Amino acid sequence: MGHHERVIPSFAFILPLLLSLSCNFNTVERSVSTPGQFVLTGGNAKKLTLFMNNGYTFVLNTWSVDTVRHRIYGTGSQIDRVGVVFYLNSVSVNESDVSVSESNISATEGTTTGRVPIKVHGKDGSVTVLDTWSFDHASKVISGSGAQWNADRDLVSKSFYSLPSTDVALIEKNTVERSSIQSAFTVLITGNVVIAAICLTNPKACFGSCPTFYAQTDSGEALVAEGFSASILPVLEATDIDALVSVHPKNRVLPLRMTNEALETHSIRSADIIAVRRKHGGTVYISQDEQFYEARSVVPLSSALGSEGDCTELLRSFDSRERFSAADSFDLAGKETIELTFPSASFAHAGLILGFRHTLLSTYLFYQTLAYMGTSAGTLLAKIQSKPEEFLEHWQGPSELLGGIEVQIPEQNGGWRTVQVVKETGPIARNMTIVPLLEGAPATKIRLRMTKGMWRIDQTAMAEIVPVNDAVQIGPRAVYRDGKPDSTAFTQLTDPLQLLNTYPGDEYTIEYLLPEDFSERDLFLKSRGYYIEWMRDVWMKDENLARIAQLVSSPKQFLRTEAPRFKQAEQSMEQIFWSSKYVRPKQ
Amino acid sequence: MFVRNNNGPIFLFLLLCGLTGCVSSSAPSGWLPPVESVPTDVYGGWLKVEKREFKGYSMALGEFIGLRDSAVFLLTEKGYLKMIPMKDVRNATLFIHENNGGKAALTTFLGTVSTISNGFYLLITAPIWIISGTILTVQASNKGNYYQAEPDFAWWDSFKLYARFPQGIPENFGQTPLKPKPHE
Repeated sequence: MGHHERVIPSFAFILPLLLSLSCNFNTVERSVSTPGQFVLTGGNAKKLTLFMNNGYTFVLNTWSVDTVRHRIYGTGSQIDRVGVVFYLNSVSVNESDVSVSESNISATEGTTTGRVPIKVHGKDGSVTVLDTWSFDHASKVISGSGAQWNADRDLVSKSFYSLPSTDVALIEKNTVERSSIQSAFTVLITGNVVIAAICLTNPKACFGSCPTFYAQTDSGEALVAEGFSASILPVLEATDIDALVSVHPKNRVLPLRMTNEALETHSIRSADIIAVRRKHGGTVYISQDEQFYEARSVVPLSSALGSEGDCTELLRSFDSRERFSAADSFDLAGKETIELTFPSASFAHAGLILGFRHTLLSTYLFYQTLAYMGTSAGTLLAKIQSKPEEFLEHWQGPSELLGGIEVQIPEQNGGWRTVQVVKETGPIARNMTIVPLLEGAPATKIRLRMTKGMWRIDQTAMAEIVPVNDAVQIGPRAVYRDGKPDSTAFTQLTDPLQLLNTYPGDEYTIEYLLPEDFSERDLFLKSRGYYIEWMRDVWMKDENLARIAQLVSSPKQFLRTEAPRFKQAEQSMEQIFWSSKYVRPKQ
Repeated sequence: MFVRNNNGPIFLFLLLCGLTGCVSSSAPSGWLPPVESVPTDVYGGWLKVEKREFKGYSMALGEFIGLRDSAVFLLTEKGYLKMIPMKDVRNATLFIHENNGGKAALTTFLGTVSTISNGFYLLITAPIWIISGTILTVQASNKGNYYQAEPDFAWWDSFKLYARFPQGIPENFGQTPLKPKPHE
């Protein structure tokens, strides 16, 4: 495990947060008025505007002042900080909560007070800043405490002033307007915090597992295969054959886009195409023992009954509408069954067509195991690499308990007999396989038995099958990177002694030249290699070698202990997984 | 080992900021009041005027003192009073208070950098930070300043309230030299 993800400072949002909070992005709106205009509220004013200390504004159509309780009552509207207007039948506010009150008509008696500073500009160029003030409507005198400067802006005095309006040229009021910039920054920072928290709390939901292959399909470019998902170490290098079900080339040239979208090192020894000729107008599938069968006379599913009830519609066609369930809350190896019914058909040899893929349960367990290994991951994996027989003997416990999809047929005694166990690792691309049933065995009732929450089933169908062996294996004709031929990558993919190593964000286009009768053939991708998962720093906090010991010595108990933890993450894993693909930024 | 280009977001941010016009004040450091001090500040705003000359243009900078007889008065940092006929003004920028455009830019930069804590999601969050942060920085840097090309009398009249003498130049003006605003 030579690669380590760079340190993730999960607290990195703190700096912009502090900086943003320390900044004042507000601005000021200034207004000036002459003393004549400045006459504020009076007893006979028709409309009263109250600017409140909290930024709200009341516009009162009728109002009265309780001079004993220092409260203002009225009816009118309230305008909040962002300008939303509420109409109120009854308003009651404390005078002390009012910063400024204004009236739209002059008054001849009474006193108006204000608690926000105003600047009183004198006719001689002086200015008096009054922190609190009152205006006597009868005498037209502005009074208040503050400070006065002359025209040269020398401080004259700090005192209580009574300024006759005849000496006043202009009265200035400044209103600080709250800015939305700070709120916007807070939203951005909050987003960072939330996502950082998601990454911290559920780092095992990251996109991963092996090279992914994309190709043109009838509905545009699509993910069509993932290679050797179970090959997590060099010693586990393996060959994987995936049906390219939805790939129907228009000509002999077939380009496949191969990507590394995870924090992994992919070592690809080969990526070839197998083109299998159809003989009976059907579709060619591959079985678990890598035999090709042509399925003809396909019989669609009549009914499917899972633990949740009828799921026929989800399983009837290969359409990305998948049937899956939640994992068992107490035992991740807990099983479930789906009973399938097909119309009666007289097939010489029947086979079950099965479209499926993993859920993220296996990915989670793999990542969690690496996390429990923590700083010892390198040592432990090196030991497995050096003694693979030990790995197979001791480390496969959980995998064996989780198992595959058991395809069962009914027995005469009422029980079920397993005819094949379907296994294919990988949660990304949907697999399509054929399960040959026993010749002469009834093909109307099938039961699938599998671990709850571990499989997504897309299609089940019954067909008459015949073995086919007219298959040709086609190596790459050219390999491109960034649109340019990459002879090195080509050599590495075509020389069996070499490996093409790819890193997160790498992308290659592999081009194949299909046989002339390509339209009469179904295509499969045969890839060989292995991959190495990169350790994430956030995994290290989970280091727990006792759990590793439990995994090896008591895998059953390990899966039970792990169940609650997985259940916490299960709901959100899928969304996080698909949105966490690694794509290298364009340079 | 692949090499990731980490300079991209910074360049993009600087490019966006440049293209969208982050405004920087020409006022001396510490001259403009912070926004919360404006209600009690007794000086005019800082005025930057580009005026037409016989050949070309020249720049005048100083405190906005007021208007009189179709002329703009400003007081330079060193205390020289300048009178500029309004018709000679090619463009004018008035700064009322200090803004935090620089801090907004720094917040944007740090916010963008902090998206590395988002794992793979930074592919989404980093561009959001760069774009949103740039817009916010431009907004922040434009707070408290007003620019006008070819300002006419109406413009000056509407902005005279930001002068030291919004009521108009006092009668005894000019008898003694005005003192410039002290600042750090």
